[in-house]
Amino acid sequence: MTLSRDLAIRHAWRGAFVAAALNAVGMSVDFVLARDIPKVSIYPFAMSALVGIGLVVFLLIRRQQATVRLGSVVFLLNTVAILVALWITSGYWATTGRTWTPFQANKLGALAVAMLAPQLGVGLASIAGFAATAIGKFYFLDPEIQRGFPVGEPWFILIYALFGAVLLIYRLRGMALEREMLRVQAEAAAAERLARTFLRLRDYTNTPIQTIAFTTELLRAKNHDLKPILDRLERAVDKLTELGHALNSYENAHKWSPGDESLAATMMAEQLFGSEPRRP
Amino acid sequence: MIGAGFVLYVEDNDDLRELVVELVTIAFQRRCVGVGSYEELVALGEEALGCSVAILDINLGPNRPSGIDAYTWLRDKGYTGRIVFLTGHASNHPLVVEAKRIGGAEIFSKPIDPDRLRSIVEDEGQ
Repeated sequence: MTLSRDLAIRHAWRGAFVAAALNAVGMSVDFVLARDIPKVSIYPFAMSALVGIGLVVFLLIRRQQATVRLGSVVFLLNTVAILVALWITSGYWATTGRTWTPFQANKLGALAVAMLAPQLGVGLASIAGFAATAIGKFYFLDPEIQRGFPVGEPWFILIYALFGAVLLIYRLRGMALEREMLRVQAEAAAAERLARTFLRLRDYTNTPIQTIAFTTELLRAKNHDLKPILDRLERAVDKLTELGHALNSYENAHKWSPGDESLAATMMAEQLFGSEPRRP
Repeated sequence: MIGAGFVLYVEDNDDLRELVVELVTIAFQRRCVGVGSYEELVALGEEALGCSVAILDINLGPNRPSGIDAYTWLRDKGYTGRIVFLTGHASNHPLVVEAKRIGGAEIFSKPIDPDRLRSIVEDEGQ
């Protein structure tokens, strides 16, 4: 059974892994597309892509020891590498003198974060980073270049950031609900196991208690001198019987599955005694 | 010769079966025959059918014919006496549910009080 914590870790690891892989692939493609731009340098593309590859390898190595925190840290490092690269490379694109759509990678990043971020804080910070670097970069560009930007830029990034944040919250709430359902299912399964164990324990003891009760009655019939002793024994049997009745409340909590009844005695014996089954 | 007035007890637990036979005989002053399995019951044949009351343990062992099979055999052979099921299992155990479904027999959960056993063997006509 997948536990809710396992699911959270798995989501975090997978989100960080995909983000790092997209960084490596995306930056490589970006460089191929930008290679004809005058004065373009491979270093920002390569730096970001290599960080992505390194994080992919790191995640693969740490897969068995993965935690949500690990996924978040890796995701954040990956985002920082991308933001640094985009800060530099957007300058190349802006200075080509040709028509371009500004900050596409930042906009795409803001939406990708919504799909992949392991935690809310990391996700919101990353989205804010993509928006802030786009707007900040705009004001670092030459005013002449700024005037060449399409109307409304760079502020469109804020719409993407808003959509990204809403999608992120929506997705994380859905995941939280899913984890809660898993937790409830796990608790129900544990309660079911407990009920089954209690019932099998009770069933197992019913025949021995019955034997003691009838033996007491038989001894009472055979030897009247034993009455005080047998009375005590009878009271002890009554206590054990009350215990059995107390366990009746677990009957409704346990649903018998096909084949359970034939396995019951065997499993009971194995659970309690590690031995061959004895009949209730 | 087993027959009218006898109590038939079908129980696979040897200790309990022998004890009930002795208890019914000595304490309740009734004659009782105990059998340990469905096969033993069938082997008893007409003698079993002559008993006045039949007490059947519902579970006669894993992968063995159950007390319900014993009930069915008795009724199919024309047994008209009182039949009582005893069980150590939960009321929602499949065999217990099946016993309730077929009707025509009372079901008591172990452990039963010796006085209840006495009333069962003495109220054979009910």
